[in-house]
Amino acid sequence: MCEKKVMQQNGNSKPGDTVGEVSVKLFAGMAESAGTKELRVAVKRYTVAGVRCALEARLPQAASLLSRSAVAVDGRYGAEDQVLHSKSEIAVIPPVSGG
Amino acid sequence: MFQFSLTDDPIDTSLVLSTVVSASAGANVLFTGTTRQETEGVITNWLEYDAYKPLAERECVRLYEQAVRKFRIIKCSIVHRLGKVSVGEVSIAVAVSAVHRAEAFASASWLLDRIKEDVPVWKRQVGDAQTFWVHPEQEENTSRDSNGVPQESDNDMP
Repeated sequence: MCEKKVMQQNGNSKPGDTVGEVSVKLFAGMAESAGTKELRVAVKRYTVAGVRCALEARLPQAASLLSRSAVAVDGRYGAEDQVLHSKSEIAVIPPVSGG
Repeated sequence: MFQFSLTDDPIDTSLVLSTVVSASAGANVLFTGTTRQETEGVITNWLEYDAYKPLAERECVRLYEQAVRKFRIIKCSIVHRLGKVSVGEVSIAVAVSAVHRAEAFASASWLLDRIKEDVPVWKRQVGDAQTFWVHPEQEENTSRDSNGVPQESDNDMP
């Protein structure tokens, strides 16, 4: 599903192409599942949706929790089509349980 | 006036309450959440809290601003504990002052509900039988868009 979206939005890009890497902060169950609190992933699009696709491929064991998570960019909740920069601070926000 | 902090140290609840006292206020409410020993038959030895600090602060400021509009609160202070919180210890303190008690009670309750939905803080339940991060299933009536981003809603007006 992610691959198809990439082809539609990138036009000339081939399925395996990546445009760069981003660092992603992970918390709670996402960090536990990944075994780390920060991950660098190769993305095919500099968007929140692009990061989701990269994480889905990298962390298949966390796909269910990822699908229920929001993504924050530079300390704010981000929309799926939000464009990122190479130095954007990206964080996956799984369902919260404070209080 | 709004104060927010995340702390690894025990919360001084008297201090939190004292920060919302105002000559304009006739009501001051302090809520404290504590680590419960048993949840649905599962024994908890302690909880561990983690947070994404920049977004937690931003979300709490947003909730405070909403609470001012909805309940006309005067002052508010929110302190959340991080790290290990033993049974009986305070994990969160929310203090609110308002002109009258109805707004003070309602706003404290509303703030707690919103914090538990919107603010990126997570608890890990540690017990003899099992240890796990708590990630609640999203309820259908929660005010989030399809990306999981909290939305402002007037449905929960008092």
